[in-house]
Amino acid sequence: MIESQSRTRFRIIVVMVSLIMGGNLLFNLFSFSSINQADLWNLRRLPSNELIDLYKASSAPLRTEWIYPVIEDFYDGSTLYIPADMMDSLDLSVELLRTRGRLVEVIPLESGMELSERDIEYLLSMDNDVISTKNGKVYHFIEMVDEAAGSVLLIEHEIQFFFIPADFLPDLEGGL
Amino acid sequence: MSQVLFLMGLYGFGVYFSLLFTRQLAVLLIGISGFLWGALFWVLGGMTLLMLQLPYTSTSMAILFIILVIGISLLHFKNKTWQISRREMIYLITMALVFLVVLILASQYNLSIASTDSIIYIVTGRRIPYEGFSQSVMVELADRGGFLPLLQSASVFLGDDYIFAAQPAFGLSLAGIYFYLTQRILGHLLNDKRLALSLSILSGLVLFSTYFVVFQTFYIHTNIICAVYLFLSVCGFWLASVEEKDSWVIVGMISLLGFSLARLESPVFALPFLVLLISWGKIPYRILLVSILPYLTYLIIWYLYLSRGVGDVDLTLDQPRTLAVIGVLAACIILVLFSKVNWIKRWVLPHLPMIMLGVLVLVVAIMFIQKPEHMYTSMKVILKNVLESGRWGITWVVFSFLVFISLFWPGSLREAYFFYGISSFLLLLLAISYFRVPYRVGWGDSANRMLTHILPILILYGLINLPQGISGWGIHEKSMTTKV
Repeated sequence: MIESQSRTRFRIIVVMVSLIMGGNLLFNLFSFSSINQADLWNLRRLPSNELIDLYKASSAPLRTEWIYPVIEDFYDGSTLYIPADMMDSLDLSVELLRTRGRLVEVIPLESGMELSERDIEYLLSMDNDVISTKNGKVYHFIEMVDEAAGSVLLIEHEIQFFFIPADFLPDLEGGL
Repeated sequence: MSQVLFLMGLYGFGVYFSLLFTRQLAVLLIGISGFLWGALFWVLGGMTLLMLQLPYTSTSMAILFIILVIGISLLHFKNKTWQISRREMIYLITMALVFLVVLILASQYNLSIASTDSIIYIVTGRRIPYEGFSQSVMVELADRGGFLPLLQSASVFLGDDYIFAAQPAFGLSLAGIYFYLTQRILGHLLNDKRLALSLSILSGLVLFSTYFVVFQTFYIHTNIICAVYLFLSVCGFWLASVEEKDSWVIVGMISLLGFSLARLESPVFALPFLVLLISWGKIPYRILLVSILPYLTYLIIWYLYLSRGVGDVDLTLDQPRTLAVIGVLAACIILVLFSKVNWIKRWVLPHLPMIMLGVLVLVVAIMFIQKPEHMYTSMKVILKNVLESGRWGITWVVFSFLVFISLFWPGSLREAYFFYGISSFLLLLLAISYFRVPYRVGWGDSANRMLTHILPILILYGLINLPQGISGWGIHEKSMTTKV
C-alpha cells in the first residue's frame, strides 16, 4: 500500500517536472528569434570564412597588432612600399610585417603619394574591404587583380589608409 | 576543407586514445568524446614543445602525434584494447560520420560570433607559430588562458584565417556527452532506463534550446570548452564512485585538465571538485596518485612558466595571484599524498567538503564587509543577468527553482557531491569579483558566461534530486549519497 502510494507520488512528480521542462522548452523555442535580434552579436551566417568578415561582424575596434593577419590574407608574398613616417604613426613594425604579415619585403619611401579627390572617389567606389581602428583610422584593403605583380603601396588620406596594389597606380592621377 | 580534415584528425586521434579505456568505458562515450581528447592533446603538445623551447611547427606537431600514436598502439597491443566488436565499430563509424557532417556544415555555414576577446584569442594564436611564447604572447596567455590560442594557432599551419569549426565541435561534444552521461547517472538512481532516457532527452532539449547555450556554440571563446570538460570530469568522478571503475577517475582528471587550461581562473574552480573526490575516501590511493599528481604538477609548471614569462606586467594574473594559485595547487598535492594517513582519512577527509564550503562562505562574508558596494553590485548583476539580461530565457529560473524546492523536501536525500560542488562554484564566482571590477549587466559579462560551465551540472542535479527525494527509492547504495 505504502509502496503503491509512493509510486503514484513519484509518477505525479515526474509528470510535473516533465511539464515544467516542456514549458521551458516551448518558451526557449518561441523566444529564440526575439533574443537573437537583441543587438549586434547575433547568430547569423558570415559572408565568408575570412578573418576580415569576422572582424566586421565582431564590431570590435581594430588594434594595430590585428592588422598583420589581414595583410597576410590580402598580400601574402608581396612587397609593401610604405612612407617611412607612416611606420611610426601607425605603430607598424617591419619585422612583424614580414613575419606575421608574410610580406616578402617592406620598402620605406621618403615621401608618400598624394591622392586627388577623384582618386579617393575612384578608390572608394571599388569593392574593397574596410576596417576601422580604435583611434578612428580607417584601413582600405584593395584586392590584387594580378597577384604576380606582387607590390602594394600604402597611401594616407586624412584618417584613411589605402593598401593599393601596384597595378592600380596608373589609374590614379595623384603623384609621388 | 583542410580545417575539417584537421579537426577530424584530432577526433580520430582522441578516439584512438580513449579506446585504451574500452574495457571500462562504453564505446558510445568514446565516440562522443573523441574530439575533446584530440583537442586537449594538441594543446598540451604545443604547450609542452614551446615550454621546452622546441620548434612549434606543423612538422614538429606531426612528429609528436606520430610518436603518441606509436605509444598508444603499443599500449593497445599490450592490453589488447584494440579488439572491439563489429557492433562497436559500427557505433564508432556512425558517430565519426555525424561529427564529419557537423564539421562540413560548420564550414559551409559559418555562424561564428566574435567579440574583442575572440579576436585577441585568434590573433594571439596566430602569433604563436611565428613568435613562440614571446613575452608579449605570454602576456596575452597570462590574461586569458592558453587553451584557445594554442588551438587557434593551428590555423597558420592549415592556411586558414582562423579555426571556425572548433566551437561547434565542442558544442556537439557537449550535447552528446550530456545526453549520454545524464541518462547513465539517472539510470543508476532511478532503476528505470526508459525514464532515465526520457528525462535525459527532455532536459537536454531544454539545455540546447536555451539561446545563450546555442549562442556560445558559435561564439569564439572559452566557455563552451570549459562547460564540456567540467561536465565530463564531474560526472566521471561521480560514476567512478558508483561503478567502481578506475578509468572514470582518469578520464575525469584528463577532462579537468582541459577545463583548467581553458581559462586562467579555472584551476580555482576545479579544486572544490578535486577536494570532493579526495574526501570520499573511496578511490584507491594508487589511482588518486597516478591521476591527480600529474594534473597538479602540469598546472604548477604551466603557472610557474606563465609567471616567469610575464614578469612585472600588470595583469589579471599578477605575481602574487600566480603564487597564490600555485600555493593552493601545492596544498592539494600534500592533501593527496597524506590522504592515506589513518587519522586524516578518519577525521579530516569526511568533513572536508563542509569545511571547504564553510571557509568559502566566511571568505565571501568578509569580502562583503570589506567592499560592500562592490560585492553587492556583482551579486545584483549576476542575478539580473540570470533573470533578464544574460540571454538565458527562463532556464536558470526553472532549474534553480527545481533544485531549491528539492532541497526542502522532507526526507530528501541529496547528492552531497553535487551540492558542495555547485555551491562552491557559485560562491567562487562571486568571490573572484572582489579582485576585479564588479561584474556588468549583459550577456558578455564574464560571470554570466561562466554560468555556462555549471548549468549542465545544475540541471543534472535538479533531475537527480527530485524523483529520488520524493519517492525515496531507487537510490544506488554505492553512490556517495549523504544527507547535506
